[in-house]
Amino acid sequence: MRLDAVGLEVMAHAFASIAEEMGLVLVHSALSPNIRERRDASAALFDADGEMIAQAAHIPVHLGALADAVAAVRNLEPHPGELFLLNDPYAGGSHLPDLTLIGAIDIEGRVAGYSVVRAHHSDIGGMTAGSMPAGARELYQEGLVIPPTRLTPDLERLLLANVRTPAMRRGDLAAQRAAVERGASGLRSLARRHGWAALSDAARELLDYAERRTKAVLRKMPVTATATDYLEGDGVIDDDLEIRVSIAIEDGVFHADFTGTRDAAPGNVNCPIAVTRSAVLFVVRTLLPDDVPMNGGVPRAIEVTAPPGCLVNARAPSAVAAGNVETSQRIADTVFRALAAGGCVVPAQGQGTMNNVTFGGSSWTYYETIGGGQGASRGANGPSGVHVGMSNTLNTPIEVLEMEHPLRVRTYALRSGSGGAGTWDGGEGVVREFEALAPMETTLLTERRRHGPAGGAGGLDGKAGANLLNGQRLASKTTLRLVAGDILRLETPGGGGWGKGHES
Amino acid sequence: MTRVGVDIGGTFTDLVALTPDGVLEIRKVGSTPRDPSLGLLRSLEALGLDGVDVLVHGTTVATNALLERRGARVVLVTTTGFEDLLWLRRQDRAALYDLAKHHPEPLVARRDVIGARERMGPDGAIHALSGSEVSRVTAEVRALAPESVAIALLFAFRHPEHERRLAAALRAALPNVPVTASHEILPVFREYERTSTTTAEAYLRPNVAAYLRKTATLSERHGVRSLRIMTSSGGTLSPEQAANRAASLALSGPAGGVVGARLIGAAVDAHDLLTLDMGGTSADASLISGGVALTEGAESVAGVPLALPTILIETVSAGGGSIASVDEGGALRVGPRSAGAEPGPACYGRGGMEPTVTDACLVLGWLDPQYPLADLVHLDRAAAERALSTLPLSHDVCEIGAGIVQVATAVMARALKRVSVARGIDPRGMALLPFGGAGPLFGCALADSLGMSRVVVPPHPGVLSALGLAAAPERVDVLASLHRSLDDIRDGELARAFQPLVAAAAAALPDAGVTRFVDCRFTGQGYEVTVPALRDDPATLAAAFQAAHRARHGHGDSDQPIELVNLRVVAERPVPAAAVGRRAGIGIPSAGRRMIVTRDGKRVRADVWPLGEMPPGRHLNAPAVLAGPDATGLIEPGWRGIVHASGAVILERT
Repeated sequence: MRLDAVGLEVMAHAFASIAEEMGLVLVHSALSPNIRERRDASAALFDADGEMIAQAAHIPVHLGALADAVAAVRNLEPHPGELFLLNDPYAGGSHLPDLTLIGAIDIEGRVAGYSVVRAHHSDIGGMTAGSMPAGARELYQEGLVIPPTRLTPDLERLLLANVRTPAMRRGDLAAQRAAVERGASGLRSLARRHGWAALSDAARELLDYAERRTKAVLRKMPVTATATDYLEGDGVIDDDLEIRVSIAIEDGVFHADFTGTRDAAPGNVNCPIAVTRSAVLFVVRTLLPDDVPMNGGVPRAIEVTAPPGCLVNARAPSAVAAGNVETSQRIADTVFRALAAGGCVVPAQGQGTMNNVTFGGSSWTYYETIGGGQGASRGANGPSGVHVGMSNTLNTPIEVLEMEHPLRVRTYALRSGSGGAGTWDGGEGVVREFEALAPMETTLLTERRRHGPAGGAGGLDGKAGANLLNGQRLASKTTLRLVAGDILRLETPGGGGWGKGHES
Repeated sequence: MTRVGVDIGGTFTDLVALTPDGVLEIRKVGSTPRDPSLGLLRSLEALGLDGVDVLVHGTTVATNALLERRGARVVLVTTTGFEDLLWLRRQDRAALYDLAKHHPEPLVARRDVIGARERMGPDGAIHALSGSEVSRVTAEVRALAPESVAIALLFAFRHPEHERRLAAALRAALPNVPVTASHEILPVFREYERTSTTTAEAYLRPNVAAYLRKTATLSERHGVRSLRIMTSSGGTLSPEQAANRAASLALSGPAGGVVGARLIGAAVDAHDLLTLDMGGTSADASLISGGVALTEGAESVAGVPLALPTILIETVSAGGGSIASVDEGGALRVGPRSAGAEPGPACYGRGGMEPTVTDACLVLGWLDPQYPLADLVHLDRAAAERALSTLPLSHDVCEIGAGIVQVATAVMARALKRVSVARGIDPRGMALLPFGGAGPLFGCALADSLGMSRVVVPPHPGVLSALGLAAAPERVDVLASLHRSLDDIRDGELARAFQPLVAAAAAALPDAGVTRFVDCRFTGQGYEVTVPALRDDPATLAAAFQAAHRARHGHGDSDQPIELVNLRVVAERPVPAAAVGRRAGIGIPSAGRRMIVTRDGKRVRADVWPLGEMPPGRHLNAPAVLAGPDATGLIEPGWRGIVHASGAVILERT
């Protein structure tokens, strides 16, 4: 069946509404603030060949990387109706707290597609409460590693025995499972109405359509350029760590080659290649018109290569917890910088970090990320106090945080004057100040504490961020013990400005 | 007893009167956007009846003030250290991939936010509010000379003492300025949503109050004995009550339509309904389950987060005026751009050149160019054809028209799914009730795409909102936070906690039926499920909650304890059922036959029937056009209709 213009639109709505439903089921019934309030989770439907048909627009870093998770499950030759769990970054995962549940959708006795829900669980064991340690040198220190595995009650018992907050994990997993099942039943009912053959043809047509749209845009921008940017240490060493990318847009295909990027770091800022691909995909997606459906057709126009064993194509057992959240940001920054070097008009750099903060004790954990300044664009100031790049989670309401954990928020405000000036100003960062009300452990995984986000086209850089304990500066990545009364203050970076001087 | 409903839309002001002898009077006059009360006055003059007992009004005053940002200058008082809450929102960006996109600006200017040195925590005061601080804040607010004041302090939903003291001091110091405190408007947790809602209330109060005063005077002068205002939750308030619940009028207009749909549903014995109101620029979907309109907290109206109880409405940009275009990947799109009421679709002949959904319907023969739309607009088929032929899709304008209506159907189907399937409600056993001038043209197509087998076309779809207003029950909602584990609830405790709410509801609406609800969740969840509290026994509540949770989320057997979050009381005084079929006051179109093109491109000869004028029991075969003076419907091949005693036409698959 070759879909006409009308059929395309109709089916795109049908698939997208299933993914939206999956997201609603998850958020409305999950237990942990990280999933239900911050929505650190994503839902998507894949076809039988492992290409993404539709997504609920949540977190960029999840969505680009989900195809690798489905591929890892397909290697196990799934039977219709089976349910899989994984978090192994080297077999379809991103970092260990992201538990990915994948259902093989049964239609007429065959695996007709996959219903996928990835959610960040605020503990998966390992050396620190919250499983986002600073200073981990091996994956094993970061928590329980789960290769693609059939999810059985026994596996769930094993998992729950290895985490600090089993009741919350059980509740979140139940919500996740219900969301996967909602995706499967949604696709089944669509198949009942249209017939399975017509439906899978439609999915394929939609992917082709997104590919056509993507290539049409890329064909109009032939660019060849190279750029470099740096991470600021990895929690073990404090050096600047080089990421280098050469991009070449040829005949509608976006090539990104990371040759020249340094070897995997001793600490946990390394990325599996899936995360790297997802950061490149994010950049390409920002170049496309808003209405291009986000599905597996877009990545068909993207080729990512990186030397095995380098920082952005790490090998087991390199540690990765911060790679997914921080290095992914820097990869996107570097690719944007290459586009600018190649003559494309792109926004100035945004805060370039997710400002990961974890608190916890033996029986509780809490994780959040904090927004900052978006880079200015030609024609618009950068938005203030938002998540940029690879994240788009919500905040946890202060009233929720304080009712559930021994923490008090003393200030939550925009960081006035932190955005870089320009013809268009960068967005402002955020100030968030916590007071510990009991002894606890805390981990910070942050970036852009040394080099502020770069301005574009002559605009000034945004102000670098700062982490302070009782007024004393802390490292960008660190694990500490707090006592009651300690005050931890994060000042997140402002976005870069765009253009020289103010237009009258 | 004569009850009148007046619904003010962007183009028309509709009036429906239910008279004691069972006749339905309908009037349609042009709207007067600059002063909507003029349109209301004209519609009353057009009716010309003395002695209206009740006038129920659906107003867009609050909605438009939000859309056009024309509210009062508000000063907001927050807890010190949290003055930026409205700018931080929830920290997510406005668009995932458009990095230059900003959220809409808050309703208050940053320089008009004042921090009060005080702090409540989960267990009470951490930093007490001193008397001198109350004086300082009061003086600062007064110095800013606000038109309205909002107070939203952290944890005021649980510990309102500081808000109360500040509100009292400000009311004393500024007797002519409305003061809104968050615990009075929305005593529930999540500080951003509560602050935003409180600010919106303060922003709207002066405008809404002035409009309501004027409307009250006008209607009194016209012999109206009681004026009631429709709220977003589908109930009605007196003008005095509504003036202090301004933000709860944000969806006053659409709520009237849902109430009207419920009335028609009841008349034809269909108690589970999906409703779709297709207007000029958008379509609103809603759901009625067991004869009750589903009420939820709305996410936002016009970019302003409002967490007040609202009839569930999902809006999509697919209306009669929505513009069709072909994107660079070759896909046909409908909306979100709209030709609106001015210039309107190309066929209105008022200068619109781009093809719209209405143009497509005209080209397909679904609308009759011989017959003016909604009494006032004459349709130009040639102009519609010219507009459609600008789309690079086909040489056959009918094929293009069929494509446009299919895409519009898909967009509207998505809204219908969001209110049903996405909430775990299977639409297949429900009836679809399409209304608005063009809604019934899409009834069969929408029912097909949702697998539904029954469509109810109301006898006067174009004025259903006004009918809903005329027949709306009087309703008051009272809410209180009670955050407790269900296991800890002792005998009689729940009854005691409900008692003041029930008393408040009964005082606001004497002789009304009172229903109690609880919002529950598994401990640790962030969203609640509302279930009726039929008895005070926690075990019964737990079972009801688990069943509702399972239906909605697919699982309900968590071993997590269940907790109460809020108590709700709804007082409702229903209006005696009215005859909805017979009417007077507008012209009657004649029956006949004409050629139309179906949405799959087939040319067929269709019967034309006068909607609302046919004898009960008449069978209508497909294809057929149902032509009413205010709306048009379609019976597509594969369906057949029968005229119900109420004047509604019920469509079922053959």
